[in-house]
Amino acid sequence: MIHLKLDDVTYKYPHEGARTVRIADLTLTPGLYYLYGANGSGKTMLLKGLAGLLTPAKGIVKLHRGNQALDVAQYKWHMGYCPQEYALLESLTVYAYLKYIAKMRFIPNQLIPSRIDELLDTFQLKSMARQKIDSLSIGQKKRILLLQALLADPDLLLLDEPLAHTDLHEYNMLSRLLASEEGERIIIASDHPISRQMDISCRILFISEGQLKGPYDSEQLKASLDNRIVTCRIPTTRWREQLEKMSRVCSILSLKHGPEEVIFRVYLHAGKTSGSVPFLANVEITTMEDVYLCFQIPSVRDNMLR
Amino acid sequence: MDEKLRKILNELADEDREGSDDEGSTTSQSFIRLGELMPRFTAPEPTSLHTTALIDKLLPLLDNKHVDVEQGVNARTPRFAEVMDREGRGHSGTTVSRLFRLMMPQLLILSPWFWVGSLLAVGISLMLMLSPQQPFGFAGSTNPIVLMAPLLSLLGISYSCRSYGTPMFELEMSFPLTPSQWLTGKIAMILCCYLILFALASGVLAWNEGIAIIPFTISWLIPLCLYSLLTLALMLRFGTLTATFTMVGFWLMQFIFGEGMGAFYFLGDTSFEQWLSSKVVGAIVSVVVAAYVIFRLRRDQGIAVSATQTESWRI
Repeated sequence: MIHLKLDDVTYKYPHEGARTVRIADLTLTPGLYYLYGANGSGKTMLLKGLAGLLTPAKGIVKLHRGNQALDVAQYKWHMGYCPQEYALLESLTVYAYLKYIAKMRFIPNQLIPSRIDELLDTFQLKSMARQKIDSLSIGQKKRILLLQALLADPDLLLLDEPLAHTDLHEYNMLSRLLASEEGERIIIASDHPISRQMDISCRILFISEGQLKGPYDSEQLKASLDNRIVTCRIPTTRWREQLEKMSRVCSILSLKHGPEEVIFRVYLHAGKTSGSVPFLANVEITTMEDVYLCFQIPSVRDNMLR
Repeated sequence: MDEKLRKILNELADEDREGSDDEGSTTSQSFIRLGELMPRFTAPEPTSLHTTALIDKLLPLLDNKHVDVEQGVNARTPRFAEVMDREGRGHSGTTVSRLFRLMMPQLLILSPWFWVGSLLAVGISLMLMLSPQQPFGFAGSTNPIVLMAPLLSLLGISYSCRSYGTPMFELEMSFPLTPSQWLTGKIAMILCCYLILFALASGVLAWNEGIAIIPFTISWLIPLCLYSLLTLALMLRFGTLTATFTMVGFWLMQFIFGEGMGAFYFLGDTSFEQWLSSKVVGAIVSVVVAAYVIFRLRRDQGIAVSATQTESWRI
């Protein structure tokens, strides 16, 4: 059984001052973990640290395979990393780039062509194998980055915003692919559940105030907000005066300005019902976006994790 | 069935029938009766012979089960990682074979035009040397081969290390490589190529013109090493682009001022008055710069974790 153990680990950038990410004690078993946090909270720093690009300022990181704890050199053999930026050699063809990565990862020469073909097929990139990378779209480049991370079939897969800049088709395809890969490896993927609803059941890690928290079950988190997420519509002429009243009964998660009304999506405080909210209010199905936004509000977060 | 066991089972069946007939029987009575019967069910402890016999009977069953389990495992499609482990991941072997494995991937990222350009540059330099008239007015100790060797090496290294400081470099550092191994792979391919090309050119010259091959080789080898190392040092300190422009500027300055730079003119051939002192200075500077590059790489192990650490990431 593979597991990743982090024991009182702190990461920080070598030339940056105070910004750190601390992980008190964490053991991850195979599965898909989405890593959430506000911009600048340290998601990328954590993933770079786990990818071996930063040494921990403190603590121990160990990847176990069965009873064996891998040393640092072995760790990198069993780890795949997909950075947030486009780490590509644009002048190469897709196939040449992947072959270069495979060789740099010391995959035996005789296995490289079949492995690349197999993954190109999985990622629906086969027809682009001979195209130069600079001629591809941003979403296609994202797929190549994700593909290269899987080339050596790693036990630990670290993905820094793999679903950013993808269209809906790519998003769904890659989400499904990640979900299907989770059985055999530990996948940590940073993401922002802002624009799209995450329907996949997964485990969630949050970075908040420089601390990594979790893992939490996504379904349990959503269930903890059942009947608490409400939308209400207030005429544009009156919404400002209602803000104070509303803040007594709920926390505002988001608001959308329409031509005649403002639509608030709110979290109802404990003991309040949708009737407590001024104007027409509807109880909504909780999404991961709600969970993410609620996590950013300390009092709501405490209720959610209780 | 064993006769004794059959007798006991029959007696128990009789007891059950009696119990069910007697509606008024109580639980406590049943327990008393059971207690009376218990000693009769006590079996003697098995001897070692009995145990051996049991093992003999179980072993064939266990073997069959074992075969079934193995078949089950074999039926599962092995993970690619398992196939790689079986085939050998190609990280073992002699130093030469490991170096070869670091160098070979670089062939994929160097454009064919790069090789064509390099060949043309060396070929043209050689033709100029062999030409009875010097078309560009090369005079004194200025020699096309000696001029070209450091220029090509600095451009080649800059091109090969173009990912340094980019997201691609970060990705490369997540591979099972140390920064030193990464750099070795990059520069070894370029230097090997140019060393072979210029050595061949020197051989042709020696054969055609009858020049002394060793002093001539030293003439281009020391500037080649010096420019390569200076490019690397500047690249590690300021990035690839700055290093390239600075070194091209330095080369131009050497080319323009020529012998006027005295012992600091590294591009002279054997006809240069201060040839020996300039080559000694070049060699000393190369050693100092090499030491800096090694120091820098060791210090930057923090960028990517060193493969020599054996336990875990602990500070």
